[in-house]
Amino acid sequence: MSYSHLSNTGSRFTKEISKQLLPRYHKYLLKSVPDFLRPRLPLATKENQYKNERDWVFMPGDRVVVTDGDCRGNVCVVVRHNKDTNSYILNENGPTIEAAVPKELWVDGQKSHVVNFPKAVLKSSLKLLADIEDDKTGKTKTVAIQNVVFRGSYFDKNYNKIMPIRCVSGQEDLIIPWPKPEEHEDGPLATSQSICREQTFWVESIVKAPIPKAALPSIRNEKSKYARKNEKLSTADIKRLVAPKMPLTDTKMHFIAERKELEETVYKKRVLTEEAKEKIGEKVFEHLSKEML
Amino acid sequence: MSISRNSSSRFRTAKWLSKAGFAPQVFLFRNLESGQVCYSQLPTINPALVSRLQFKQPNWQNRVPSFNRRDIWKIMCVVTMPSYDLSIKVFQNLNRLRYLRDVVQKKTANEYRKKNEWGQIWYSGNFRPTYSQEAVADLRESILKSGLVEQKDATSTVHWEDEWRMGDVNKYWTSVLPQVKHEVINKQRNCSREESVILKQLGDWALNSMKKSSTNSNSDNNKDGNTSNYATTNSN
Amino acid sequence: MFATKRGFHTSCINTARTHFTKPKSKPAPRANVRAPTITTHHSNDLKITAPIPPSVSNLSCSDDHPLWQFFSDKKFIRNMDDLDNTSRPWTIAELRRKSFNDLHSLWYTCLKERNILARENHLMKNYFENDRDTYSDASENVRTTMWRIRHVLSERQWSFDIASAEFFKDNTAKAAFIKDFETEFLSNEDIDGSFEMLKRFQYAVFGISEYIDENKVDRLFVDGLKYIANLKLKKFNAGQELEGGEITDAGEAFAIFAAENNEQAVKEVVEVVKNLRSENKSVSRYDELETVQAYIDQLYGTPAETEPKKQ
Repeated sequence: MSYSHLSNTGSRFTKEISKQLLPRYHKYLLKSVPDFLRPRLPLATKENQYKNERDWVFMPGDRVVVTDGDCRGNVCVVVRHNKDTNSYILNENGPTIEAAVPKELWVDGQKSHVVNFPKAVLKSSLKLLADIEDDKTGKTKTVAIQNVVFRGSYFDKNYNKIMPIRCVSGQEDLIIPWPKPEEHEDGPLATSQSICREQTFWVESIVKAPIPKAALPSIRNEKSKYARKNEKLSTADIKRLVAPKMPLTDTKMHFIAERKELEETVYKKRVLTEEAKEKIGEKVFEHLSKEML
Repeated sequence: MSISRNSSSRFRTAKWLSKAGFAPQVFLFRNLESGQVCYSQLPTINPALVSRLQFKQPNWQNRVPSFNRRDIWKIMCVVTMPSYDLSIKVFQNLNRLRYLRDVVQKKTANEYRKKNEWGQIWYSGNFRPTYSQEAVADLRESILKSGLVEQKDATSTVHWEDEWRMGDVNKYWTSVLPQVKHEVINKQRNCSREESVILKQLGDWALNSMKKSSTNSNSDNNKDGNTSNYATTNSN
Repeated sequence: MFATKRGFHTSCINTARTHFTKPKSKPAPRANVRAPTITTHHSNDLKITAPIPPSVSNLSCSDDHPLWQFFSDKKFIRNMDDLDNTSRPWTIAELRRKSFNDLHSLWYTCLKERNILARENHLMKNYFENDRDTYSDASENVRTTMWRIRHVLSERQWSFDIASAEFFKDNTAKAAFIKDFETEFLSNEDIDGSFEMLKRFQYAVFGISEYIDENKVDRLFVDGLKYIANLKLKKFNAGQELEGGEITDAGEAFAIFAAENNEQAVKEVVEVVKNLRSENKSVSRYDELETVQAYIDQLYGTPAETEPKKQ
């Protein structure tokens, strides 16, 4: 019986070891796994695995075109990500492999040992497809995008999080929206939004501590050497802690516009033009010459 | 005190037991570390007697256990028979069965055991669960062949350390031995001092119930026997 | 050969057997031979049988056994698809809005879930001998919520520590705050509304809970009592009738504090205070805490936790 999963002791050492043994491990993994389950692409290490949308670029539901291999030129839809190999599983238009499946694992209605499996495809052999309007004819046409860049971010309601804005490289006003993700039910541990947002904590007293004194040692290590007692807040911290400025209200905007207009017309500073200067100079000269003479 | 080097080191007859004030009982002690079981007529283990009688051909898988630690020898069950003759029969049967397992029918016995991947008796550390399971099977067999079944109205009681050890009651016990009642020893704590008290009380209880049944059979009118109830047992 | 045993030089010769040694003759048969004592024997039809394994069928377990808390729906192990793979941990911002009790119960909900997951992970690793980390990953997710709860509580404590240190540093902040409140309280025409305000104020500055028996009587409590008594007198203009116009005695302060919040009740209490003063009854500053505690116990019927010392 092994209890190694209970503790992190020695994990750094094993990690270091596993880095060196990884190629050999992969070799034996490939040998031990039946053919139809065998990953055809090299496994990505945990550090190299894609983590966010910027890494993935194509999300499930995106239309893509395959640029090499047997299925070159086929238009497919991304079905899901394969995290272990940083690759994409495409729908039936994509590349497939034939593999023999033992009878124990047959699906209902299966008649042959040989089954087509979708083959995972790397990012480098895919191009994103987008519908754009043709300027000349005014019709929508589908184009493959050479390169995608990310500019800024926005809150996406479908994904329920901040997503980067996906633009066409070289023509950044062309934004390619993210596909709508498949809806899934809430997990068993999920808390409903209303309960989550309900505020139950209020600052009520300056003499009564917010938590019982006896609970304090279980909340933080009083003697921790990492405690930030004397440390000052960095600009990044301040940026995170200070609430963003509220957007201006309509009235306020109106007021500002009015003010600006007034400044331009009524309160405008009068600037002496060269012409005026010359005129003044002429007058002064005239006066002085009259006086002096 | 389960282990006593000064206690009786020889087989004791019915006459001796009744004269010395012991009850018609057989005691099965279990080693918590190795899972081995030894049988005794008295509520104590005599190491010399036990190793002579019950470990005839010790080997690396079934060593003569160490009797130096009394804290890992715990009572597994106490068998109370209706008469001294039967209790002695059960004790002798148990020893004989042990001899059969260890010496005469070694191979057959070994076939019943669970093995590990190298064909050895399954173990974890020093612990081999098969020995206590064999002891339960042997106990059943020896009560079955002791002649209790032939005696009508005779009942026997087995006090177990827990409900778990005896195996499936309906499957192994009540179907073939309906006369045997099973009870559980009610332990408050896990110390040998308490255990010796419990064994003593069980002995007293057995003697009393034997006396009561004999007076009842002699004269049915006299029902006012000793009815002291020992709280160390609770019914299963 | 005799090897290295030590002895006299003759011992070797003495112990050596020669062919002149005669074997001993057999002993004569004894007359009084004891009859064998063991007359009983084991049965002859004994057979070895298969070991009897222990059985759980003899055991019964109640539905409310506390160890069931380590199981999800009393399942041995959950299916991997039944785990919560879609939810995210609570964020710090969400947790900041929750009271201590909410966080406390959330903590224990998480802890129970982690216990279940740890059990299942252990089974996965040892019973099924599978190396997958599905259960431990789910547990890690729950752990994130747990450290965030601790973080939020710690942060709350820091802000309380810093704010109270600032507030009580040189008492100017406190005095200014109290003065602000006083003008607002006295100028408020709405009696009920102003006393609601007072309720919140007394908890905020003096820590006096509206449920009197919950309070711990300390110096701050008594100071608050006196301040509030004076404020009440000012509110109902009842202080002029008293000498000095201000309450400094804890007993008097408690009487006014406990009076109902209307003019008549306060004026009645002022009469009582006058009587007390005429009888020269007052509470020494050194006995204030014990006396007030005794009053509270008397009024709300809770026995004192520790008996006052008899001298």
